[in-house]
Amino acid sequence: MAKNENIMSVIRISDDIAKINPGKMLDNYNAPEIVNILDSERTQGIKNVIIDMAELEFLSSAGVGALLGNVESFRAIGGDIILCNLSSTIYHILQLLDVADYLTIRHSETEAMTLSKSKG
Amino acid sequence: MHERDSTIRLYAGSTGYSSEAEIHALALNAISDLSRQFSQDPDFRSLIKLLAMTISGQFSITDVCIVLKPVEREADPPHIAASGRFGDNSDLHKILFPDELLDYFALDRKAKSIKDLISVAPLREFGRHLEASGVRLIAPLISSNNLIGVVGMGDKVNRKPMSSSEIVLLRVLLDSITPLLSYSRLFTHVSDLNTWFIEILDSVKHGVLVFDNNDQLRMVNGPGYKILKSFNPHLSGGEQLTGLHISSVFEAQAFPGWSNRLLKYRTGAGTRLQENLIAKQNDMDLVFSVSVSVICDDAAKGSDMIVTIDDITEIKESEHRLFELQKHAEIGMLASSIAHELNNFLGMILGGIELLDLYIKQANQDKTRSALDQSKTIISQMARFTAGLMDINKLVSTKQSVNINSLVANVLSFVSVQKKFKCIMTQIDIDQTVPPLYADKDQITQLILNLVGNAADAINETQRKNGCIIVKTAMEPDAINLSISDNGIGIKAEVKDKLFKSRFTTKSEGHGYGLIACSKIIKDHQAQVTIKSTPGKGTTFEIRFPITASTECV
Repeated sequence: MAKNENIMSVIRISDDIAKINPGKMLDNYNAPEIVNILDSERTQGIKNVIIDMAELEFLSSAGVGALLGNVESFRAIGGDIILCNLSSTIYHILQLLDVADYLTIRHSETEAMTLSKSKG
Repeated sequence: MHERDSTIRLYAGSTGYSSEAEIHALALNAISDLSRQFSQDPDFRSLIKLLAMTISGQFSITDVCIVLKPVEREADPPHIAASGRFGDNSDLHKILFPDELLDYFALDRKAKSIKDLISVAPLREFGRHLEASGVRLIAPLISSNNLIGVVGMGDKVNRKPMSSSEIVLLRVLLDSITPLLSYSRLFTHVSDLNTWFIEILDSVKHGVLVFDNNDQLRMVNGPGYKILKSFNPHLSGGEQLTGLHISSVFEAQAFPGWSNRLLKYRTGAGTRLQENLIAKQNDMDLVFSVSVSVICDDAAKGSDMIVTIDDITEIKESEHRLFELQKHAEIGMLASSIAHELNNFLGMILGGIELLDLYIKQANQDKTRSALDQSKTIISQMARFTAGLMDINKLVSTKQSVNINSLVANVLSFVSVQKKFKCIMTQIDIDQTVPPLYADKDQITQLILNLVGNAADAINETQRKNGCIIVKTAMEPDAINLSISDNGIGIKAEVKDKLFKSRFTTKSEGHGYGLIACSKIIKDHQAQVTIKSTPGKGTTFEIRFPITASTECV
């Protein structure tokens, strides 16, 4: 798949919650894009970002780094980046890189939403 | 699916292999992706951002910064990519790289703790600066034995120190990427310079065309393209001209003789040609200032020829118009100057006639005869003056033995009866020891007449009733001094310098031509003029005629 075939989407759920669907891959090609989206959402008042990884088939080191570099900035304003709907493959990569315990991960979007609202 | 090394897919997520192997597989994948990215987009700024993210993810560190040394000057700020807390840290922009840093890392190029760096004296300040910014671990970016920058890292998310295998893996990652980073930075720098130079070239007024050693156009700047397009409106872009031979760029109909002329100066380096050439556009002649410079005079590489062109048609037309105006002005000035001199003569003739009238009434035959003779003399002078005007070649001074005292007396006797001298007393103070001067009699008469007339005007401006003009001659060791003094309005200091310059006058109805003529006469006789004046009190003009072997009459 060429880089321009991976579509990343952003949905505003409420005034302070947004949901991002990174598509099938989060790697060198779109890691900068997700960083820009996270920066943009945060500056527009979003405190919690849910990243729905249901479609994600591949996660590179750069993709993990893109998330790691932004988590603290959301936690500093009382929010968080919450990953949900991870496949076993993707979860395994996070475990390999020893960041699974550091990142906030929920099984489903519903759980992620509940957590977001409680943080609001 | 994104095309990937099948080994990676085998490792990622599989349970049959060690997690360390999988981690290495991820790292290899990162190197592969970064290398591929570089080939597609060699902008080093995006490359270092990705490298920072890769290191962050690969080694589970939230805060990572890549700091690159400046390319051009050491005083320039470093290039930085940062994630996490380092992203907001402006102190990183003030980092200065110590020379000893390369030696410190040269042995094994492995990452070191910041505490270790601080323990080395020459690196202490550098280390403290990084530590204050939150850096805990530092790794070098070395390419071809040159330190091009460092990677600064904060703590791992699990707060554990980096393991030795992670240190090795980091080194492998950086060793693989740093050469790409170095080339990318150089490429970006050259690209930026190229853009900068093109912007500079496009902002200059002149058209700039560069021809290669085959006389084919390599480059034309914006203004140059605009000029060529004005001759060929069908052009649709500078690239259409690139590769054309100079004879096609400056085709003969519009630019007659240009290409041959330009190519004539193609040997050796340096500027060879600077001149104005004519181009033809819609039956109009346009004037261009053209210069040719040849650079890189190397027989192996050949030489480029830089041609600059500037349309100066309007400037030339303005110069021509100004020249015509000046000619007309000069003709006008000349006519006015002639009228002024004739006016002086007529004034003297009128004065003589009034004296005649008086002497006839007095029945004084002797004085009548004398006045008649003097009038004839003045009329003859006037006739010679006008005759000289008709033949420009005769406008040269005719020098002879002249009694300057007599000239002074003659002039004053004639002017004293003029209306403007009505309230003015004229005095002569002559030195009888003054020898004859080798001079042009008519010119000296003109000179005295002009200066005395100006003195009268200066007195009349004050409207005083006790106006006085004193004309004096005096003998000096090697000169005859002629002075004309008045108690008129005087001349301001700043005006004095301009008096004998073209058309300068202080008179409300004056034109300044009289003093131009005086200036010429003084110059023709190698004399010098000194002006002494007190505003409100009066002025003295002193003309010093040198007596030399050529001027003294025996």
